[in-house]
Amino acid sequence: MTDKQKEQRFKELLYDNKEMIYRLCYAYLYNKNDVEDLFQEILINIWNSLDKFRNESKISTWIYRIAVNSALMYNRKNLKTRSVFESFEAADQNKFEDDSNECKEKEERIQQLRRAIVQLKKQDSLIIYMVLEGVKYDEIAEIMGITMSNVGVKINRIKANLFKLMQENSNG
Amino acid sequence: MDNLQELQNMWQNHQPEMNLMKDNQILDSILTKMKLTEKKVERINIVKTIAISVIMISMICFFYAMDIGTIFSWLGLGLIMISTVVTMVLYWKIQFKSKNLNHNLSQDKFIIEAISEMRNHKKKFTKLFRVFVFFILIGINLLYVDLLTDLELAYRLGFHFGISFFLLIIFFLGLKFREKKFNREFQPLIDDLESI
Repeated sequence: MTDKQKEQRFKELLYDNKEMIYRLCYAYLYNKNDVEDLFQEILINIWNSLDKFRNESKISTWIYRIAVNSALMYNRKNLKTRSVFESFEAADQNKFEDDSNECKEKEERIQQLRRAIVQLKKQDSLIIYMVLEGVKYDEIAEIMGITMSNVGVKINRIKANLFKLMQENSNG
Repeated sequence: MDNLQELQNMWQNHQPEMNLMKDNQILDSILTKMKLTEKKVERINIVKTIAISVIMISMICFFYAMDIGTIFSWLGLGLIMISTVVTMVLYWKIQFKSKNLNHNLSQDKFIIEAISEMRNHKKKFTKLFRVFVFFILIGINLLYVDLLTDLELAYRLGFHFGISFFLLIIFFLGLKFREKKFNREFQPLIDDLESI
């Protein structure tokens, strides 16, 4: 693949998958700067791995795999989660002031979901992210390197945890 | 809101707050970031190489000017120089870089590879450092072996052991410091990955 072809291919992938990658970053991290940082890291890993893509799996599965692996390696050790989350909420409060009631409510529900996802364990938050994205179970199994039945069991457990956390968060 | 289907619809229709850059600009920015990172590493390596070269050249000039160079001292100096250069080159080669990991692997294999690479980095560094210390100790002892010929054997041995012991303590502390740094940088990530 020449540099020009690689750039063209990368731009196509970016165009088709940018939102999906951003949503992964938002499901995984609280802070906006960290989200941007992880987003860039995922793109760098996609760029570096582009020559190795052999069409053995769907391109979307391949991108999920790279994104999920990059997220796992992203070092969250410096994140002061609670305080960051509080500042994140404060920023959102300001943002809502200008929005309509419907938008506000929708955004609040999304934030409620995000808050619950980021409280899950690292791997669980990545799995539930893929479920929310509508990735099929066999693809999740391929990405995670586990069996389909194992995926089913894990998802049921994570789902229960997620709803419990959402309930707890909404009760204050 | 305990219906997964409803959550999926909401999630997929939600437009995340994104960087407003166009795809072209994003590509340019990541290529620039990669180049900057490479340049930064290159610059650090150049500074280290210059610093070591200056120290080596100063030592050679000192020996030459003082006319205290004997075969053993030149041999010692040569050993120190060669082992330092070889260690530096090998050290740069064994450094752990997450971009070198194979992100194409499925997550279970990727985790195994990442943990093993991080552990290997520590093991390789410890081995390399021990070999380096061994050659440096020989080199330093050779450096002044001829300068002590006027002293009695017991004093000479005491001197060699004393200096070697002192250096060993310094190297040991260096290794401990490095281990601490590794534990701070990599251990949380290894623990995290292992818990998966």
